[in-house]
Amino acid sequence: MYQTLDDPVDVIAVFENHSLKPMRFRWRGKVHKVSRVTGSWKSREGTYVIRHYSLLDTDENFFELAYNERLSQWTISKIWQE
Amino acid sequence: MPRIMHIDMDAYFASLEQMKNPMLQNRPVVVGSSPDQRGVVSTASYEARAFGIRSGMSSAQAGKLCPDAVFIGVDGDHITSTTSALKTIFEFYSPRVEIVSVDEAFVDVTGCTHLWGGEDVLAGHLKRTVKDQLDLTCSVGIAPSKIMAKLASSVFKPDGLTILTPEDIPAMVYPLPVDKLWGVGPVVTKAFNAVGIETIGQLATRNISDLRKRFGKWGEMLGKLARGEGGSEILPPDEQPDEKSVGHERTFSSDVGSLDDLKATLNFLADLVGRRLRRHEFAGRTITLKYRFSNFETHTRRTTLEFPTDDTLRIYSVACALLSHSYKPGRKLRLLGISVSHLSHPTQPHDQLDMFVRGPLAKPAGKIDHLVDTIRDRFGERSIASAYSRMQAR
Repeated sequence: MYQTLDDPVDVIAVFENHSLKPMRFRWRGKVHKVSRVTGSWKSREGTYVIRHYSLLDTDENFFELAYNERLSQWTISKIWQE
Repeated sequence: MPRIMHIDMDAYFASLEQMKNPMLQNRPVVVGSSPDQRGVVSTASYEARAFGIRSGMSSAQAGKLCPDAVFIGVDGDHITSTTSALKTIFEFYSPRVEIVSVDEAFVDVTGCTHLWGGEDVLAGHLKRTVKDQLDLTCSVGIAPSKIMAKLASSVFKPDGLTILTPEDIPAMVYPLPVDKLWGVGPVVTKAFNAVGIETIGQLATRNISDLRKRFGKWGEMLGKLARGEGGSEILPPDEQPDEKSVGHERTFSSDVGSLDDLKATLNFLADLVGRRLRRHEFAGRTITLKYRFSNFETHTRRTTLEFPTDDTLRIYSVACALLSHSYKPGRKLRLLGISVSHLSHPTQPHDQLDMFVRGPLAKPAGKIDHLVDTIRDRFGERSIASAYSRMQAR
């Protein structure tokens, strides 16, 4: 089941092939290394873009991260829990 | 001769979810409402379809058919973004693309196929591009008309490709039941069956004037389409006809009987309708209120104004008056909706006469609407709302 969140999170990301790609993030004190970005898409909040990423960490946990360009802020928006 | 390609994304919403979350692959996934809520299935993955779950079915029923299914809400942002990417892919093959809905499109490939070395090569290239770029599969049909192309794309699913030439149609299409034709629902099927039309071939071979006499223009049109005549015009977005009405409705999660709650919901709905009218530069004269009781008994009440409006407060006031005149508080409703029709663009000549009218009708929308629109354009749709609309029934 998905759990919906809006937790701020610290992210290390790189620009690769003209796009932003999260590499590691620290959430609730734990550092997660991204093993695979499974999807990325954009939404708009007025004139501002929010970039969404679905990904797996090295422990095969699923997360959705969002980067709000207006606020220059990363959040965790969804996690998967069996 | 026209050649039309229909592309149907396979179990689109569910496939998107399975693509982005590997934990969902090979599992029955249902996109739509949760089974413990009022609502329906939007899309079921092929694994869920094996349990008999179909689009449009109530989520509660789907939950009973497959208790282990994973239910996920519709992710509108992801779908909109992916559909936009799909449209870009389709436009690589032809400039004439008509998006029918978020998960299907027609592409006019007349005169394009020789560039690829054949229709099968073009379609195969498109399918591979969709798979490579978005990790999704689609089923494709190519035929002389939209209705035949749509039928062709449904022959082999998922990930299928069916090409129909005019010569193939009698052998491959005519034996199919008439309800396989796009636009032929249960009511029309029953009417056709009553006069001995069971298959597409029987419809195609009926005398057109007989069909017109029995079923009107609609029957005549379906008869011609069944023969493969017409229905090949692709309408890209800038050639689409103007909308005839703009409306929004809300199905409550539990039935509502309080007039205050219903009026707060009307406030919310009027805001959505007014915003959409102004965004598309429409104003409308007829305001229609729709409400549905718990037993599905549905009523509509409408009034036509002297002048077109796109003013949220005006739409809300009229909808409230319609509700107050026709609804007795206490009896519970499951659905409430507002629509505005008889649309025109505020710059059309007959509307320009309004410039001499004093008061709120003199401008298409009040200053507050313009201010709210400006804030939403910059900060998003949820950035500002009337306090009253926040009290809407859920």
